[in-house]
This record gives sequence, structure tokens and C-alpha cells, in this order.
Amino acid sequence: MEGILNIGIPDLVIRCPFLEIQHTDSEVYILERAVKRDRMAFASLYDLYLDRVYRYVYYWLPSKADAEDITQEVFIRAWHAIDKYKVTGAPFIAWLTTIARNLVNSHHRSAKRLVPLPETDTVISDNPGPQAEAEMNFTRNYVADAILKLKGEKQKVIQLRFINDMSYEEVAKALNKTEGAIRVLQYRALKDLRGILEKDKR
Amino acid sequence: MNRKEEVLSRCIDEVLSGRSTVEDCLLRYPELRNELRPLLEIALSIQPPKVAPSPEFRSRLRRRLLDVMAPAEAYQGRKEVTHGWFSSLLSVRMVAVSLLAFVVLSTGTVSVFASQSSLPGDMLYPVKVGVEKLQIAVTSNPEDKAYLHLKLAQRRIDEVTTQVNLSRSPDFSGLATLSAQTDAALHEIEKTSHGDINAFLSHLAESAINQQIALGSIRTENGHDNVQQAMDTLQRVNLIAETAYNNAAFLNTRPSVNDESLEQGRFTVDGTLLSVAGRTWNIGGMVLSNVRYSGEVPAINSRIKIDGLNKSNEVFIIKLEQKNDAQEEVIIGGFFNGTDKSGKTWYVGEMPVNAPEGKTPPVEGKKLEVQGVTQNVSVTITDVKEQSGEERAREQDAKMEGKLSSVDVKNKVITIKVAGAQISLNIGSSKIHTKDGKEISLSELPSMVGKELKVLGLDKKDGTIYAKDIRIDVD
Repeated sequence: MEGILNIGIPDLVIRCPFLEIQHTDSEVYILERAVKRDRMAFASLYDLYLDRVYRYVYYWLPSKADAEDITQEVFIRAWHAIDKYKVTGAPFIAWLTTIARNLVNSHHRSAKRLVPLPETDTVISDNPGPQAEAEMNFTRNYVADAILKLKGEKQKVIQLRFINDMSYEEVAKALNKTEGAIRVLQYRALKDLRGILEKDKR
Repeated sequence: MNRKEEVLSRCIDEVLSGRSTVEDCLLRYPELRNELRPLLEIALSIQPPKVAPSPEFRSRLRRRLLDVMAPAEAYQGRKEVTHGWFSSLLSVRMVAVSLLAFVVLSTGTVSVFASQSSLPGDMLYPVKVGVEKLQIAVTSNPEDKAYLHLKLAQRRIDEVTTQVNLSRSPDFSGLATLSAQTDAALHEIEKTSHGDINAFLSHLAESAINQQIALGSIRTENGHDNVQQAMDTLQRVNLIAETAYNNAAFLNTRPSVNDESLEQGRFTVDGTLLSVAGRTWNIGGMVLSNVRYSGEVPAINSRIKIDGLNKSNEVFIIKLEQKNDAQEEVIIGGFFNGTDKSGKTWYVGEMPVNAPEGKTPPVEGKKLEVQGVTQNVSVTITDVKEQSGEERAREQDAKMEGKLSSVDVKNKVITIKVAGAQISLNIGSSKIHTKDGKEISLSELPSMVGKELKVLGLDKKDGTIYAKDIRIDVD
């Protein structure tokens, strides 16, 4: 449907193609606008990615206060640097993750600790109860520690695939490789991870 | 890529998407089982935590970002400027102006497009709401407007379910607009002169049932009151749709889905039709004035059972059933609405009947079935039966009422007609009762086609609606 919009300005009638709006907007288009510092476009990216960035940060810093501080900083830095982002088809979340990872790393360095004990946060679904949650956090800290010992692209693949919940296609675009190459890297990374975990256990 | 890498990827995908378990997937590749199991388990242990930013953080960050994004030239008095810009999104007029800016200055309408998938608490949500107001404002055909209101009501429900699916702490406030949107839709459809009102009512009834099911599946600790209120509203939608479907004039009484007393006017009268004079009917001594009935009036002295609604001093007949056997008494069913000052008249389903001698009135709101005889041109109660209410625990369950229209015993599927909409239900694991609580089997159902029934505990899986409990209106 295309509607006619008359907003009361004399002699100005605008044809509105958006009165019946479908979810067909392309992210590339939004990104192109955002890179030109279009505030509304950036706001829509924020709406799209806030949850994912927060989850990513929370994985490394399982404390509500820390996760909120870092998430806020990620978006502020992203806005300041948005004009440097290149719309090449690589997922925007990978770019945000790079900012988030750097912030998490410097937080770790300054705090000289890896993963602190978690505070309670808004855990909604599958509420596992305090005991199970403590166990989950323990496993997570243990595995998180091991992930950081992975080398180069292996670490990136594991982070993007599992912590960022990205598909093979998205990871392939982010790392400029084929999907097949990502599957191979994933296998090797998990194998290395197993080695690190076994060594740590000993 | 060799086989191991391929199989590992496949198993990770299947397990993460819930299509398979670790065991099931590895069983298919026995030669790789031992090697892949630990890798698969490690992969599955690395999952994003199930957390979501709190609503407070969301709004705090939104404000902070708006501040950061404010243009440099607006630095003087920045607070006012950013707040002005943001709150400007809230008014229709300003949304129109910002849309204008987008149409004129941008090559497209990126943010308006993008805002359409936003959720309460998102930065662009006010734009979405603003655009909706604009859509309403620029739609002039009442029928289109009615459908648009329903679509917006549906959006509020979708937003709640999406928030829950995204593990967000849901903001239920949008549900409060559900009744206003539905009332507005009813008001618009009443205005339509040549629109297909019945098609609209069928659509309304069907969406209300699906919306109830969607809301009924949400189990969160917060927002219980909002969800409960929305469920109540949606249940009244069915009654309004069904009544209006059978009596278009019902819409002229301006029924509201907020009207909690609506259900109180629901009644049944079962007896012999003694006379019909214009719009006054006498059924076994029970005199009904201002009757609205769209069908053919049955023959005098035939036994009938009517199902109706008393509203605004009019009696709307929803359903009329003719019975073959004769009956001396008249049986009236409905909620007990209290007595008059003297206590000599009881009101059942908003209809006056002479109180039985020496009997204390039941608690108001109880569902009664009273049997009476004609005395001095009015009905005196001779017997009172209280019907058991539905258990409180079931309140948040989705339920519906309608007429049994077909039964497929082999596939355990029945079809129910509500306001003209045909709704199929799988009743494979349902309990089926008569209204007196007698259990009946599926094979007995085909003989009950055409009867009224109430379905409780509706649930939807893979597009199929399942029912837990069925109460059919037979003795």
C-alpha cells in the first residue's frame, strides 16, 4: 500500500511508501546511513545489537555492573568511530565484538583478574537455581580461561561462533574465508581447546 | 574439509537447534563417536549466557547515547535539545515532521523501516508508535481502520512474546492498549455501511483465540496482572464477536471489551414458547422484552432453548435451538446478579424471577440454573442448582466457547464455530465432560454436533491447537 501523507504544510503532499511497512529493510542500507552519521540509523543498530553485545560482554565479565559499563562504552565508541566502519558485507556484530573484546581485555588488565564471581542478573528463561547456576558459572570461567589461550583465528572462530552465536556464513564473512575453512578451523580450535582444558586440569 | 570436520559441524548444528541430542547424533557415526564426543561437549559448554540488559539499563543507555549523538552545534543547552529531539518522536505531528525530513533529506526512510521491528524499551520504539498513530490518522475507510486497529493490537501481543523469546525482561505496558485498540476496531466496524461485518467478526474471534494462546504460553514472574487482564479482555472479545455475528444490532449498544459486567447478562432460557407479540416473547411464563433475533421465529407452543445476552435493556438472542419434547417448567441459566430491595425478586442473567420461598440467595456471581413455574404471569423458582465454577488455577489458561461443527474421530480433530470462524482443535489428550461433569468418550462426540461447548487449556504446537479440557452443553 502506498499512502498520501498530508502534514498540514500548504502545497506539500508526500507520497509515503512506508504506511504499510514490511520487515524488508536491508541492514546494509541502514549501515550506509549510519556511517554517514545518521543518528536514527545508528539508533536502529543499537536496538538490533544491544542484547547480543551485552551477552557477549557478560560472558567475559559475569557481573551486571561491569557488563553494563562495558556495553555502554562499546556503543559510545562505536558511534564515535562509525564513519571508519567499512560496509563490506562483514557482519556489523563482528565489528562491535572487536570493540567489546578490546574493552574487556583492558578491563581484565586493569583489574588484574580474569572472571570475578557473578552477581545476580536478569536471568529469565530456564532459571536453573543457585546451585546449578554456580556450577554453570564455574564451568564457564574455566572454559573462558581456556578460550583466551587459543591462538589467533582459532580464538576468533570460537568466540564468534559460540559466544556471539553467529552462523558459519556470518563468521566466514567476518574473517574473509569460506564456510568450509571455518568448519575446519572450528574443528581444530575445539581440538586445541580440549588439549588446553586437559592440561589445565592436570 | 574432511569427514570429521563435516560431522562435527553437523552435530553441533543439530544439537544447538534442538533437532538432536549428543547421543543421537553420534550414534549415526559410530566410527567417530569417541573422538568427537569430547569436542562436541566442549562446543556445547560455550554458550552465550541467558541474560538480557535490564529495562533500567536500557533506558539509561538510550538517554546517554542520545546525549552523545546530539549534534555539536546543539551543545549549548544540549539537554533540552536532545530531550526535545527524543520526546519529539512521541508526538504524531513531530513524527510526521521527522518523516518529512527523512523523505526529503534521506534517499529513503531507513529509520522508519528499521523502527518497525523495535520493541518496548528500544530507542526507535517511540518512532514505531508514532508511525502507527499516523497510519490510523491517514486511514479514512472505517473497515480498513477497524482491521488496522486489530493489527496493532496483535503487534502488542507479538512484542510481548518476542521479548520473552529474546530472554528480555518483558515490558507488558503495551498490553494495556489492547482493549482500547479492540474497542476502536468495533466502533469503526459499526460505522461501516457496506463492509463485510461478519467477515470482520470472524477474523476478530479467531485472532482473539490465537492471542489468548500466545499469552497463555508466557510464564514469567512479572507482569502477571497485565497478562491476566489481557486474557480477560480477549475472552470478552469472543462473546462480543459471537453476539454481534448473530445480531448486527448488538454493535449499536457500543459493547466494550473492558465491560466486566457483560458476562453477567448472559443467560439461557429453556421452555415452551407461549406467545410472540412484536419484540416481546413469552417462554414458559418468562417474558422477554425488546428481543433481537435475526432468524425465523419458531412456531408457538414449540419447545425452545435460547442462549442470549441482556444489554442496554435489549435481549440479544445468540442461539436458538428447537427441541421436540414438551416441558412444563421453564429453566433459566445465568449468573446470579443479586435481589431487589424486598428480596422477593432474584436476578439471574439480568432477568427477574420470583424468589423461592424461604431460600437464602446464593453468593452474587455464582452461576445458577433455576427451574420455575408460571404464577401470575411471572416465573416462580421451584428449584435452584448452583453450577461449579472453573478452578482458579485455570484462570490464565486460554479458553473459548463455540458450537461443535464437525468431529473427525480417526484423527482426533474437532472443529468449533465461533462467530463464523471455523477453528480446528486436536483433542487427542483432552478430557471430555458434559456440563454435569459426566465423562464422555470421543466416539460419542459426532452425535453432539451443533451443541455448544467450552474448551479450556488451549495450547499451540507447530501450528496445531490442542485442548486439555472440553465441556459440552448436554445433560
